[in-house]
Amino acid sequence: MPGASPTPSRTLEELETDTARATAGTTDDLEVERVPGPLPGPLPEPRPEPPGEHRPPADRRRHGLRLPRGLGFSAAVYLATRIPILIAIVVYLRSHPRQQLWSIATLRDGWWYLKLANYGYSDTLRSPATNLSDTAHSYSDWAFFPGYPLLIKATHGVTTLPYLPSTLIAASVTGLLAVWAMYLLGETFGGVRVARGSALLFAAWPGSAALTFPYSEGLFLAATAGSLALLLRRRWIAAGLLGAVATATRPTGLALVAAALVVAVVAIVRERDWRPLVTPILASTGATAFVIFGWVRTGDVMAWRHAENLWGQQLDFSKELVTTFGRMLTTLHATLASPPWRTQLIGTLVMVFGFLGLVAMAVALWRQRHRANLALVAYALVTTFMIIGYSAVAPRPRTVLAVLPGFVWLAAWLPRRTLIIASSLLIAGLGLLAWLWMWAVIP
Amino acid sequence: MTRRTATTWRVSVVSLALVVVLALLGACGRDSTVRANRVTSSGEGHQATVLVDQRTLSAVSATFPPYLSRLPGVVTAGAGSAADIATTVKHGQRMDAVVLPAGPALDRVRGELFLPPSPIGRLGGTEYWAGAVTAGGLPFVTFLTAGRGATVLQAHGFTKPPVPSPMLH
Repeated sequence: MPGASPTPSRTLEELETDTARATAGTTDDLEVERVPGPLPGPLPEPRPEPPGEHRPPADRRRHGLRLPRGLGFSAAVYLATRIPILIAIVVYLRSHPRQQLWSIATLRDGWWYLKLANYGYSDTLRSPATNLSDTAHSYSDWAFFPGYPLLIKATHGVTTLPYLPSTLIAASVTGLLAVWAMYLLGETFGGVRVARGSALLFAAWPGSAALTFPYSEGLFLAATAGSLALLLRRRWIAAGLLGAVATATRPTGLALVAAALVVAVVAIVRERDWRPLVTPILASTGATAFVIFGWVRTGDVMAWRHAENLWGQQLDFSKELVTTFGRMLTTLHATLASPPWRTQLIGTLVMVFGFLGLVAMAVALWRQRHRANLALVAYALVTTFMIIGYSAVAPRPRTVLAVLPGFVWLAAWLPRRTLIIASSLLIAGLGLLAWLWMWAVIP
Repeated sequence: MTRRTATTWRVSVVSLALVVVLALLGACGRDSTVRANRVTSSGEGHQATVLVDQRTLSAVSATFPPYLSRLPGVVTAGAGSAADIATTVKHGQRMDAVVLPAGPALDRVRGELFLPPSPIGRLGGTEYWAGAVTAGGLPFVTFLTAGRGATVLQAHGFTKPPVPSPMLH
């Protein structure tokens, strides 16, 4: 029954089945389906049914056996999309016998997060030197937000495992939570079909390899997607609390504050309702706490921003990126002959793929404009600006992953068959990208 | 409110929010004070960026050619007041070494140095110190304090440093 609204008198399984049946057809079906963005409140609780011989799902829930809504599907998708990454790791390790899993896990950002979890932040802007290379003492740990290191520390405390496996456990668990949060965001926007499509596209997107390695993406995206879903459901305080986790984890969380602020301003002006203002205020506390901590520790209120300078993160609207790419293309023969440049060319081509992903999301938004939600549009625009504005960030598949609403719009727009084909291709590309990353990054 | 008005209202709000965010991000995009733009090169190889107190620029610049004859590469220098250089270091601009007078500016950047600074002598009654900010700046600081660079500095008005360089211990 297309367009049906959930009613409390039906079980959740019936609702999911109906919605999936109604929306699993052609694109024409999509045009008929109308499940608006903001929901007035939480979804209805399923009505318990009499226990039978095969113990129906509702009864299983009463006995504490039932998984939360969408978690089973999200877990299946997450595990399935990890397979190509694991294959890539195994292939890489077999062809590079001197490398170990731990050496892969502590590369790049993973090294910094591990260091922060182990020793905390430096007292100065530049981190203490650990070697005598020319770049020693050139970077800063203040560029990394504390959310993920704190989670590693908590995992280490709870499991009593060493820090290194703790980082991988934290990344994997938050990666799964991110896919699940994406499912809930998609469901809030457009029902079960969109939820499943969003989770699938999100987990299959090449950048989602970061949900397996020790990066902060898992925690950040789980908190952000959860916060956006709660924002759409007008659960202001819960959205703000999850937003605080997001802004304490990555600077991109500021896009969430901007989105919540836009929603609050609209609610104040149109409805004289001041309650939504609690969301941006709460959400900004994560980043604010980090700024104050940095101020107290280093004496510099802008410690984070100055650390970003050391990492070469300057607002240049991708000028440097485009210039470098142009130079590589005009001197293609020389670029291909030089191993470092060849690696950089591959990295840039991967960014082109990320850029195409952004374009596809924009097209999907345009096609879905009749149901565009203000909060999602504002969040996506600010996030995209932060990706394209900084050459050092750039539209890498990993950074494009943060444009969460884009996956929702794509899932709502693409026909089911296209969605499955696209996801299958992306999953195959996921393994290839993971292998390329290890090949390009590991000396 | 009609649908068209609602859409216009939404677009306006989003645009306003974006302008605010853009302004905030633009304001903190680049905040360095002293820029290194004087390039001395002897070919490809080692690269070092050095910020020096304005009053020592000519003397320190005179050490670049002999330094680059020993370690081929490029030295990029910039000059400014001690306070500006300290601010530039604290604001996270990439550099490898600094030459500063003893005093509050040097104390401000002490925590940002790779190793404790070394005295390079007095010029016009002021004691100057050289400090490596990165490992890449160490060869130049060593050259100024213990190498031929010290001789060049003294030929340009510097006195001998009052105490041995701690880097030699």
